[in-house]
Formats: sequence, structure tokens, C-alpha cells
Amino acid sequence: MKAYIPYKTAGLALLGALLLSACATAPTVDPRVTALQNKLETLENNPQLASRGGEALKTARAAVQLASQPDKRATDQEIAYRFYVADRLVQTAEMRARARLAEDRNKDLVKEYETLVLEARTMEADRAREQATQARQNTAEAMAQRERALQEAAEAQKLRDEAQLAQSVAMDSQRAAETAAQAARTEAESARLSAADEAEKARLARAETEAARAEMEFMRGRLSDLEAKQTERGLLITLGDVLFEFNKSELKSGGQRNLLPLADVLKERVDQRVIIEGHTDSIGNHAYNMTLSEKRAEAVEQYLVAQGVAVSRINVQGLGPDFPVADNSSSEGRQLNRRVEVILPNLK
Amino acid sequence: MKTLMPGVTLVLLLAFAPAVLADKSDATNAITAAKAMVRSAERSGADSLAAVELKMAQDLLNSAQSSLDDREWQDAEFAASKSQRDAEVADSKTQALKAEQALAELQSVVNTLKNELKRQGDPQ
Repeated sequence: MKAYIPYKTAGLALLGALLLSACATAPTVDPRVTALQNKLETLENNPQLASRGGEALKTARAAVQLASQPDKRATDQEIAYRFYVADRLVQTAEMRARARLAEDRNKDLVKEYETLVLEARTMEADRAREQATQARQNTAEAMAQRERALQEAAEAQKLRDEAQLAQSVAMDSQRAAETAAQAARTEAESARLSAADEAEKARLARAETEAARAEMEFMRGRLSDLEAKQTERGLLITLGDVLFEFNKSELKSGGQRNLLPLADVLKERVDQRVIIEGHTDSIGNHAYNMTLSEKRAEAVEQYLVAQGVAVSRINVQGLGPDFPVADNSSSEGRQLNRRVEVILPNLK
Repeated sequence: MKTLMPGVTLVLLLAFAPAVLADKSDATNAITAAKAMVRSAERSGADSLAAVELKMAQDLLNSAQSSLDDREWQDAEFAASKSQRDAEVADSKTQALKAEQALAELQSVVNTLKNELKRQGDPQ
């Protein structure tokens, strides 16, 4: 690039310029100079661009100045070249300034943009908060409404339950009343029936008693000689020891006579059962007395059977000295204890 | 007029450099520099955003190449230098338009956002 440094050229150019200016008569302003300077001036007069011109503007300014200066030494080609270059340098300076201006404005705009974004976010956050508050309020209101609805439903249900209960109680009462009435009717009927029944029973009982009494009277009449006595167990006939010899079990002939009315009655009343119980006094061996009392009872049985009374109607027992009717310490008492008892149990 | 800074002077000397007695290497160097600048402008998208400027730079570059082939070193160097300046214009214009486009898009976004905020801010 050193080749461009025009020492010799500068020297020759200076000489040429001096010669040319000496020959010049009325120098006229080159229209290219005016155009170039106007172009530069327009740029310089724009403060926004001029302040951002930088090195390019300085260079352009110098180039315009140089091109504007008359130079008699320079060839036409050189002068044209200077104008060309100066013009392009001014254009370049302007473009660079425009680029810087746009960049500067861009920076400011970025700041504005950031502020706006922040503002938008703040606004959005505010609105979100507002919406959240509204939503909370709505929710609370909805909950309250729901609560009220539930309460009303519960009250309605309670009223329904009460009504149902009342109805059910009423029905129960009615049923109970009907049941009670029915029971009363049934009871009354049953009482009436049972009263009739009782009356019938009483009548029958009376009739029975009457019959029994008549029968008993009949029996007593027939057995008057045997001194039949009415007892708990039935009609009781006590046959004393007069029927038997001492320590013997055969009936004496007199005893057989005594028993004849009994045999007759039993033959007449074929349903009449007979219990024959033999008793002794306490003298002597107990086992012996038991056997003796049984044999004496059997003797009476044999007599009755012989007289035609069915053996199946007769019950015989030897009870020895265990059921005394009198004191065994005296001979009179012992005599009373030695006995055979005949019981006619049907005649209670 | 302000006094020129030394750095600026150097740039100017470079810009106005075509030597009267330019040789082949001067022309070749100028063509190389111009070619690099044209490629740079092409890469940044000048073919769509600064098509006219780029076309001028490319034409001048072709012309410089022709002059070089014709061994016209002086013409080649002039054409190459002019091509480089045009390529610079094409490149800087592309950058400016891109920045302005981006600005417009952002402005549109900001306007939309503003309107949205204004609408939302109104009592509902």
C-alpha cells in the first residue's frame, strides 16, 4: 500500500496546479462540487445522523473538501475519480449513521418492550389474583347454598318421617284396638261357652254326687251289720279278730256268716273293686306277723272268690303291725289292732 | 473546515491513492481489495437489499479485471478502487436496511403489546 503514497505525484500535482491557476481567468464553480457539498450538508444537517457519523463521516467530509478544491495538476480522470469516491464515502457515512441510529432506537425499544412485558405480566398476575378471589367467593357461596339445600332437605325428611311415624302409630292403635275387640269378643264367647260347660259339669257332678251318695246309702244299708264307715279311701269295713282263731289264718264258720252280706253286695255291683288289707298287733316276730296278716287277708279273698266274686277285682296286702289303730300296750288295744280291713274304693 | 486528523489524512491518501504511474502490482492489489469488499457485501445480503450498488461494484470489478488483462494498470487500479467504494456503499446500505427492518419489526411488536395492554387495562 505504500505505493499509494504519492510523494512524486504530490509534487507534480502541486506544480501543475500552480501553472493551471496562473492560466485561469474566471474560475467557475464545478456543478459536481455543489452537488457533492449539498449531499454532505443534508447529512450534516440531520442531527440524529450527524451525531452518529463517526469516522466514516469525518473521512467523507475530508474527501468532499479535497474533491472541492481545484487542482489544476490533476487529470480529468483523477478529478472524476475524486468526485466519485467522495460521493460514495458520503453515501457510506450516511448508511453507517442510519444503521447506528436504528440500532440505538432498537436498544431503547427493547427497554420499552421489557417494561411493557413486565407491565403485562403484572396486569395478568393482578387479574389472576382477582379471578382467584372471585372464584373463592363463588365457591364459598356455592358451598353455603349447598349447605342450605341440605338443611332444607333434612327438615323435609324429618317432617316426612314424623308424618309416617304418626300414621304408623295410628295404624298400630287401630290394629291394637281391633285385636283387643276381637280378643274381648273371643274371650266373651269362650267365657260364655265355658260358663255353659261349667254349668253342665256342675250339673253332671251334682248328678254324680247324687248317684254316689245314693249308692253309698245303698251299700251302707246293705252292709249295716258290718258297720261300714265312710273314709278318705272309700267305704271301710273292719273285720275284727273274731273271724280267726288266735295265731290262725282260717276263717271261723261264724266269720264266714259275717262276710255273707259283703259277698252279696259285690255280686250285685260287679264293677266294685275290693282292697283287702291284713293287720296284726305288735306281739311277736315282725316277719311272721307280716305273713300272718297276708294269709288272713287271703283267707277273706278266698271266701269272696268262693262266693263268686272275680279274683281280678280283688287286691290283697299283708301289712303286719305297721298301721295300728289302737295302743298295743293293752290287750283291748291289741285286739283292735288285730283286724282285716276291706275297702270299697269306688264309693268315695 | 476543521483540520484533518492524521488518521483521516492517511485514509484519504489511501482513498485517493491511484498513482499516475501505477504498475501491475498496484492494480492487482487494488483488485484484490475490491474483490474482498464485493464478496463481503454479497455475503451480508447486498444482492437483495442493495442490488444496484452491488451491481455497480461488480461491474467495476469486471472492468478492472479487463483493464488488468489489457495491461492498463492505471485504469485497472481506478476501476478497482471505485468498485471497492461501491461495495462499501452496498455493504453499509445492507447493514442499515437490516437494522431498520429489525427496528420496524420490534416497533410493530411493541405497538401490538401496547394496544393489548391498553385494551386489557380498560375497565371490563
